[in-house]
Amino acid sequence: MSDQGIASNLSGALKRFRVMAFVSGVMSLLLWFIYVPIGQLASIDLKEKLVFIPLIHGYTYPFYVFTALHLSVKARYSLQKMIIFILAGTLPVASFIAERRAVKEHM
Amino acid sequence: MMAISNQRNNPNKRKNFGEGLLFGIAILILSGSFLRLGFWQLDRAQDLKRVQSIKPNTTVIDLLDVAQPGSNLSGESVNRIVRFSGHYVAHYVAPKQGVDRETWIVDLMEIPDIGAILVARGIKGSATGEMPRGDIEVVGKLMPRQFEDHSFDSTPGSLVRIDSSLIVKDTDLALFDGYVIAQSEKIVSSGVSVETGKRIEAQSAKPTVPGFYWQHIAYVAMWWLAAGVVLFLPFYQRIRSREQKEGLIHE
Repeated sequence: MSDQGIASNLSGALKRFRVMAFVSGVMSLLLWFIYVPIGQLASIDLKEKLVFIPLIHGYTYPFYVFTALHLSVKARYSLQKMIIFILAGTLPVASFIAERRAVKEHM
Repeated sequence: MMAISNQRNNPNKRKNFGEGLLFGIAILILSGSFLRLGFWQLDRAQDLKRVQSIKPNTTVIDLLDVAQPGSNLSGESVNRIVRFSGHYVAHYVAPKQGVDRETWIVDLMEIPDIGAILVARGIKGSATGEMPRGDIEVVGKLMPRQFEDHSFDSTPGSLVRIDSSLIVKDTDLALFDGYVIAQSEKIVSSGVSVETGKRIEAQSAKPTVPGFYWQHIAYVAMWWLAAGVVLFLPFYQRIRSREQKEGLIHE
């Protein structure tokens, strides 16, 4: 597929990836900087009230992986780059960086 | 025939075949591991559901029917009302327990020839705090050990959480997993009730499998997705290499 062909095919996949990178990134931030410290320091009751954070993160990450895979296949990323994009959803901020890189590359 | 012979004798091709085989095995092991982790997580989700569906049972049963020293407490044993007798051998307090963050009196009871179990006997302040002497019969609710610390007070005699593993160094007795919230105590020889002040209101213990059902299911989906991705990557790599050779994509 030519570069032009790839670019025209990419906009939908890129949009979906950007949305999921944002959602996944926000959930990762909440998980690492709110839920995990509270789990160690605050009361058990409060931790139970915040259980929606790992729950939502757990369900959004698979969708993030799908969008990262879709974008990587469409853009014919290297295997290494594809894996980095997939794993970016697990670390706070990393998915935002991946999203910025994808936007810079394709927009 | 000649071509096959050439292929067999070609060291480069043999090396490629060996590498390919190793790569294939590695992919299968990795993918299989993720698949297995998914099944393990699914088992946990089902265990959790099963334990949650157990209805409260108020029939008083013998402690040894549902628990043994040195063994993990099963999900079915938790919240059962148990009876046992023995004598108290050690005294502890557990600060910041219950909804009102009160200090509980937790004493260790030796069950002769069997082992010892922690008994949460009452709330400090309302109770005398002294261990009753002689043989005592206890009826109470069996609870799982606490997994999370409730206080930071780790001075001797104070338990940050009610967990028999914290007192292993204090005794040679075989310890039961979990603890009992006493509902009544009486002196075996006379049948007289032991006065302790305010008893602890025993809430039903949460399941011994940590987490939430839908949380476990999310992880099942994640592990299986990871297994699928690992299987997909080599095929993607082949397609990509072919397209690169054909000049369809540029780095």
